[in-house]
Amino acid sequence: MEARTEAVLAAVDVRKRFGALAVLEGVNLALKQGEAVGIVGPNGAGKTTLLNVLAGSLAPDTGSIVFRNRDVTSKGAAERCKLGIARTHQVPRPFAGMTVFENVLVGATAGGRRRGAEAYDLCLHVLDQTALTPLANRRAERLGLLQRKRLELARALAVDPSVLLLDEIGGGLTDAESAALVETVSGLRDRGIAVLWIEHIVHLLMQVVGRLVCMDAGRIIAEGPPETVVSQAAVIDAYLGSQA
Amino acid sequence: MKVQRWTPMSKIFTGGTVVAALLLASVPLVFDPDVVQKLTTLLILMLLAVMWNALAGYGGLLSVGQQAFIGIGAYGTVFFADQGVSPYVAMLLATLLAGLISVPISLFALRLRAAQFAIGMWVIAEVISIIVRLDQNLGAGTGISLIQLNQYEPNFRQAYTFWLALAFAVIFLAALFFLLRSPLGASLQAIRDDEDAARSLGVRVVARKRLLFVLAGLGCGAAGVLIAANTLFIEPGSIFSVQWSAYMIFMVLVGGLGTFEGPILGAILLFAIQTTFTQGGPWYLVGLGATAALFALVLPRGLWGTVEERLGLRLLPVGYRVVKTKGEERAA
Repeated sequence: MEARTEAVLAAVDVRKRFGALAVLEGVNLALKQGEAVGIVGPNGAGKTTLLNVLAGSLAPDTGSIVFRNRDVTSKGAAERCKLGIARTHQVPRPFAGMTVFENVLVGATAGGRRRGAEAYDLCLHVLDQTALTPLANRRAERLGLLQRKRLELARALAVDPSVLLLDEIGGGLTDAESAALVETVSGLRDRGIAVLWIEHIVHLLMQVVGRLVCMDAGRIIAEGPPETVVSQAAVIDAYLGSQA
Repeated sequence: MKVQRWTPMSKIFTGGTVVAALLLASVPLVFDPDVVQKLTTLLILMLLAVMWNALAGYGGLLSVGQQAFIGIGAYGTVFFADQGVSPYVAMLLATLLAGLISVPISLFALRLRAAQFAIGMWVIAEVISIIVRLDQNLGAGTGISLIQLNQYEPNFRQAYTFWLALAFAVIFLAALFFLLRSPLGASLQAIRDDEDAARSLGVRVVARKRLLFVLAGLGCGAAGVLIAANTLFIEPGSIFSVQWSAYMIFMVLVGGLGTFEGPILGAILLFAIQTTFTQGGPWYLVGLGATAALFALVLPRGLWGTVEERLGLRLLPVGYRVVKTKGEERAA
């Protein structure tokens, strides 16, 4: 049981500035295996920047990223993906000229290091899981926004990750689609995957995460059980502004 | 559901390509040396187009300096032949030399991005050109003949050169074809479409680009070897000319950037224009430029890219299709 309580991915005192603008001001966050953590916060709070730093797409100015007790701060996005850290993009970035299946195959072969039939089977399973099977042969440039978001999730799942970083995949869904998404992510969490999920649709997060983090202006201003966090005054202020 | 790679159409076409290559091999036995020389030029253009597309279409590396490798191939042939090896062995050595030199160049060039890379490659080509101009043994600025080929009777020589061109074209086309069909192929196309997204899915972008860069170095080197063998005389002003890059860009943009079939189509088109309008002087160049501009505006995907998009046609099976298994079809 010892290993299950250990942090699988952690940000340690991470700071990041873009010119004069401080986007992350000393963020500490640890994800345990099989744990789902939600991040909420107003636009510009630094949520996506934190995700980029965790995934290796951005290097922090100071602080470090630790994966299974190993400092991976200097490792790029590709290496971190091969270690098992997969992510989705807030604004979907499909490989436009490739089919949906081929998009997913990149995750399975490059990130997941699978070959041949083993890779195909995983991809077909992931397409089924994300309801993309009917679109498997469509070029990604011809997908609508919601389909592109599903493709983001499918590609990340094809990596067969141990850590999954999700950035706003829940917007604009119907009730049935929302329920399916909640079920998918809960299933991943129960399989032992650590999930970090940035989402504005708070009620979706509440159904999946065991811990909620609220960020504002580059800092974590509240953290704890979801019900407690959403009712805290600081969180309400950050979202709605002070009711002076 | 299962994954299918060959379609009936792609089987027919791939088979047809193999048959066409075999038929082409008989060209020197049937046609005049004049025609054989022209068709050699076509094969050289094809090889150049396919290599530039490998770089730009899949690696996102827009080089305007591939003439560096063309020149290394051509001058390498003369150099090795001067050392006393058989001219045809010299040609193979020169091709390998171009590939070898592309490795250290890649260490520098792949650090550059986008326009920096394009211009950086041009500078590299100019530097190599200047080095050649300074070497009296390579004819300096005035050029040099590949006299060692004169020992062969002209008709045979032209046939040998044609067969070598055909062999190079087939080898490099096949190399790219198998590369794109391999598990690396999906990664290369991903780099073409979105480099950062590819990286976040585990694609080692720089290593893959280096692979393409060296392949294109070898291929353009081979093209340079063939140019030397086809014309028997080379001089730095034309072999290191940026015009080669202009031709490559033209063929690939008109044919279809990032498609396997497009550059071949583009090469045939450029060849047709060249053989029809060579008497036009400057107007021929104006026409080429206008055509390229027109394509960029009206058909940005090029000829083959448009066909592929409209008809969903893929003649060479480098992609994947998900289809129902027989059992699922029966159930439906």
